[in-house]
Amino acid sequence: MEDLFANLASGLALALSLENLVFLVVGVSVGMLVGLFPGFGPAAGIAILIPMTLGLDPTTGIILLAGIYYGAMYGGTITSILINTPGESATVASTLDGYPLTQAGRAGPALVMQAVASFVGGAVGVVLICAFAPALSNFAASFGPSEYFLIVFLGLLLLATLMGDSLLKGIISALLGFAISTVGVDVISGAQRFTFGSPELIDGIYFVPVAIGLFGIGELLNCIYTGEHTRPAKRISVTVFSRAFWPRAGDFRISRFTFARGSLIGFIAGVLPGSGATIGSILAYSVEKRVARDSGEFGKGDIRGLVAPEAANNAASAGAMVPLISLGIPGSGATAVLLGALLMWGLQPGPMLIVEKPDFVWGLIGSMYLGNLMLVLMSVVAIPLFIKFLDVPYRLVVPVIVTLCIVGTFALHSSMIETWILLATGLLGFGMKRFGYSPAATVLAVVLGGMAENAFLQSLLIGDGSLRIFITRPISLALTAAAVSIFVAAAVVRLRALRLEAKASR
Amino acid sequence: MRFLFSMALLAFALSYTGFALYSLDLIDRADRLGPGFFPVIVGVLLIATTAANGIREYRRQREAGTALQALWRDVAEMTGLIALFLVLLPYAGSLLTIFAFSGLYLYRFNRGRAVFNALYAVAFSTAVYLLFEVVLRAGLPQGVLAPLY
Repeated sequence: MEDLFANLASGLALALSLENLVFLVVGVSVGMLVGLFPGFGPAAGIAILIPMTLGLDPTTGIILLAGIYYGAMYGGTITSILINTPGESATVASTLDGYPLTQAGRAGPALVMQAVASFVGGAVGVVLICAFAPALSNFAASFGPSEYFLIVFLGLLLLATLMGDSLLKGIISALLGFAISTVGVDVISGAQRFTFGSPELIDGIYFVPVAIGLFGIGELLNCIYTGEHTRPAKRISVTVFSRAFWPRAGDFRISRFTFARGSLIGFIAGVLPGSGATIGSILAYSVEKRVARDSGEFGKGDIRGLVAPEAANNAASAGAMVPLISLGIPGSGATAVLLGALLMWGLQPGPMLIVEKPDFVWGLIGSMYLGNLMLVLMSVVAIPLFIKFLDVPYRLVVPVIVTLCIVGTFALHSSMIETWILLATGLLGFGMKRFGYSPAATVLAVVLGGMAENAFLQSLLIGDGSLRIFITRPISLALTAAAVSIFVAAAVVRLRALRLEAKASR
Repeated sequence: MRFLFSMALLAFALSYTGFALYSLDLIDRADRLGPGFFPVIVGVLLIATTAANGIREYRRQREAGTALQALWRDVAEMTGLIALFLVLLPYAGSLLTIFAFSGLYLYRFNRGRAVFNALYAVAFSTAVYLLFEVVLRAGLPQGVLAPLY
């Protein structure tokens, strides 16, 4: 325990250096802006800005990117509450009661309560990271290749099951990612695969152009398809100097347990690979509605219906850092992009990261405390300023996004092939978004594909070519059983839905 | 469109698997798992899942009917503009390309505001150039302006 506080103190000291503080402020501010743009989530924001962190120290770089990550969660909610347009999927649940609160003339209290809930969720999440990340790292130190392969498999399976239209489309999305990850030199035999003689493809397809394409260009084309660029800007004004801006004591009293419940549910959802903030926020909303004695007001502007998903999605963002730091396995699209950034800086997330690079890990955790504090202040005091950005019509933002995507991708390796990969994956991402596939599963598979292939082949080598290795070790057996259960559960849900459809058509 | 997209995925799966089987060894000379082993597993699963998905999407399309929506044209034009950006970048250089892209985009999607569009294109391309080339030293292509540097 003493170690924990000492590590945390050193992490906070590191995060408090002038350079890191400046980049933290930049990160959370950019994150809030990214969250304000419709359909533009943290994964896209992080992916587009990765090239700008190339010259930075890894700790400063990750502080900047992590700031964008949880800043986007705060920013995404502002549009959910004010204009019923979630900035990204994790804030969809916040529209259910957030927008009715605005319609009832309580936009101010809703914005303040979401900021407080986000802060509580984020802070609880960071406390739980301190407790769980080192413990999980110790536990994971005993993992072999079969366990690592199964964790990747389980994470992708969960992502495929929970996101997108159907399990089948989720699996296709993940397989596409695996296919992309096989381009380049095979590490075991040294043979070139799918390079078509291009020297630029020998090192494989880098994940950043794929992530920027799928999340950045794909989302942009989708916004154009839905006509976002043809709509006028939404002019909204909010002032912090009005008494009506601030919540009443009763708002805090009625939701005092909601903060804790939402944070815990969100954190657990975040830790589970593939689950993440979207599921966490929806789950927290459902639980809150169920435990409320007077649930009739939910959906009509109940403050608890806003506090629960907000606390949950920020706690989930923190929770998703646990498998990333301790196992090297991201649980969502955004953390997959963060993992890619860590690999780019030569860091190998996994059980040994916390031992070998304690400054890095605790500096990141320390910055998350400070970032949450900064965000709650910014969310309350600077909300009118951030809302001003909603005055800019989307059509004027498009050239900025496209240029940052292309120039950022080119700046990585001065490679034109990577910019064409960006366009190709952008079109793929647009199709995936439109037709119910999961771009997050694709990015996760691209980032983890090499590791999954190596772990799979090593497991087969250890097991003399037999798949029994995946059920003979106790942890492997538990993971295999979990994967089978997910398959069975998904099949049962699908069969039930088909039966209901058949009944309805009769 | 939904069905076409699923067929494109199936075509990709078939080409990927075919190429893996044709060009990569499943087992190497030392009787170990070769470089083609994992890609072929991925490819076979991809063919099976995209084929099943294609059948499902075909049925869905027959039930729903097909209707191309108006904004596909905007998406196609945007894609064309991005492709033009990529074609111009190595030859015209980053500054001129960003200016041309922003100008053309605004001319098409922000009609009737010529002066604003021109000012926006100049200011934006200069700002991006200064950020990436002067501050971040990203080494963007200079293109036809290279003799001036």
